[in-house]
Amino acid sequence: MIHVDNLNVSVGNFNLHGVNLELREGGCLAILGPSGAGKTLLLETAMGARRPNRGRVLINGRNITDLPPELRRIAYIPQDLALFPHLSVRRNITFGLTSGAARRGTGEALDRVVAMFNIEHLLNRRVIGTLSGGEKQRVALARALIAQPRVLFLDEPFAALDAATRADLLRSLRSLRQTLNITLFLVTHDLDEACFLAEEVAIMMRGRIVEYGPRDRVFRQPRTTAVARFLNIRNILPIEQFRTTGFLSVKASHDGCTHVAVRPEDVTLTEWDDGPSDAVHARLDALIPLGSRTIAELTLPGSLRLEAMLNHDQAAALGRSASDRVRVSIPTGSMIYLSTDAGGPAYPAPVLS
Amino acid sequence: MALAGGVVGGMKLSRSLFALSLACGLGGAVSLVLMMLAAQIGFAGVRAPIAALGRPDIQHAIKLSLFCATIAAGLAMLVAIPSAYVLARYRFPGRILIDVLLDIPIIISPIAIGITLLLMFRSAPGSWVQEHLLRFVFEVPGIILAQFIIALALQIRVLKATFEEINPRLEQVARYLGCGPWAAMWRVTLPLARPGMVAALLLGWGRAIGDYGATVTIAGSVKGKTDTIPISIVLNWSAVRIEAAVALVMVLTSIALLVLLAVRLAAGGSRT
Repeated sequence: MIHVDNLNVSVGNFNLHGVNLELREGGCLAILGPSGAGKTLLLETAMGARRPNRGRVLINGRNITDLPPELRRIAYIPQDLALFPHLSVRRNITFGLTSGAARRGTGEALDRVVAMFNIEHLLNRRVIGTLSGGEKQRVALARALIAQPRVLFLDEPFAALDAATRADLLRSLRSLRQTLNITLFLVTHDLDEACFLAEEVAIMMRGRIVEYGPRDRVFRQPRTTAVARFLNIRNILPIEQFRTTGFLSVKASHDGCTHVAVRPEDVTLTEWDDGPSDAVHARLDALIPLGSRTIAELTLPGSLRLEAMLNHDQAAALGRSASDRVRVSIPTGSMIYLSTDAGGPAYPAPVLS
Repeated sequence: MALAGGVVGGMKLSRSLFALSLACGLGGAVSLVLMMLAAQIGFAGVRAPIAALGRPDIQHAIKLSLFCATIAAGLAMLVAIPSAYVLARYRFPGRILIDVLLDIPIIISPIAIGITLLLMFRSAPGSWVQEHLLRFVFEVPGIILAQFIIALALQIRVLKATFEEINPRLEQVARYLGCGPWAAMWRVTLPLARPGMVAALLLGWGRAIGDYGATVTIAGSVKGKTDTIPISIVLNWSAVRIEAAVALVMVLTSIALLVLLAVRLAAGGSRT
């Protein structure tokens, strides 16, 4: 469906280097990355708003790189939604029905998208500024989808919404994807959003795709320390130091990997005298409640620090214990082996490394 | 306690002085303008200037000014809109230089603009235009050209600020919704720029109708032919026809008042 082939773009001193991506019809690809990674530049180039220095973008095998935007049959929702402030809600939504045939079917198309997003009560609102954030978002989606585009490009569209409205819209969008079989190209820095909508994930840093593949593989088994940090995997430790703490199940060398990462939810804590034989003793420094979960901060032998995620009962049991000594065990299968990026870490060093 | 009371008292005094100085500044400015307006009426009364408005030469000056300023400001808008749009939207080498060049008519004296135009028409291409296309020097087209340049610089300034305030993403989204570049401009940018365009047109028109220096230099002060309102004011004042001069000054003042009120209303429309 969409084939991004060796895309290179320069804007000032910033460069997008040799980006290759593929997106099947009806699929959703999420471009993830920190601010300044080049996500929006990639999206703008892929949808044709910027001319690449090199490379091309194909939709259904047709090179659209030199095609004017209005002939591409794609829709775009920017972060600020760009609703037309001089038009009513109704005229915003029907704005894209410009051709004769589309105009004749305006009523039917309008009814369809209005029903999809449940916005009939907003149609006669004359001033866009009076809509809430969620209402604006629904109007922008209705406007984008009324002309039945082949691909919808979304640039961090839910960033300004509260958690409940965002969750509601994400559910609507996911169900629409299935109903309309629309292809989504999503740019976001929100891991939950990408996880919820996309099957394929590409992670960008400093103008390069550094990780690309099926969502579950990328999220569960990142390949580099920088990506692991971006995915908020908290416990990233050098392999050798980790082995010296007593976790002998850690492989000494694993395809050139230098670090090992463990998700806090994979760390199991037991009282000092309990636990499996391969467990390591550690000192419990603090318990930090985070709503329904609690973070336990630990110090391992060699002054290495580790975080564990506990549920309510586990945290309560540890909280009652008189001792600050615990035993830590980590299943061998949950260790993620990482290589160090050639360019060094792209993010601030994590707390626990 | 006494110290605290002294500090509070000092702060009150400081606040009062601050408010007083603001009031003095505004009051002084308003008083000066009101005194000037009162002087117009006080000198000649109301009846004599109104009677002077019935004179054919005064009516000619008013009609000529309205005609020339309207044509000049209208034509200038046709050039100012694309120029301001390009300067507001695109980054290209030499943009700052072009921006500065277009500002020159705002800064230099109108007489300098007039002299420059005269010199331009003394050159070979200028002489050719005069002889084969249209005569400008000491003719009505010369008035329109001078006023066109005076209005153009001001309109580009106002319109550039207007276009810069319009989110370029709106046009981008319009393109992806099926609009070509013309349609996106027509359906999105220009409607949003309407208050700024009205303000630019009125300010340019007001500036054009009030111009003396550039107009008199290129078109001269040919009575009954190129005497616009400002030129007629000077001609009447020189001939000691005070009522006629004051009548025209009052006409210009009324035009200024109406134009400025209209610009405020137009700008208010953009905020709501």
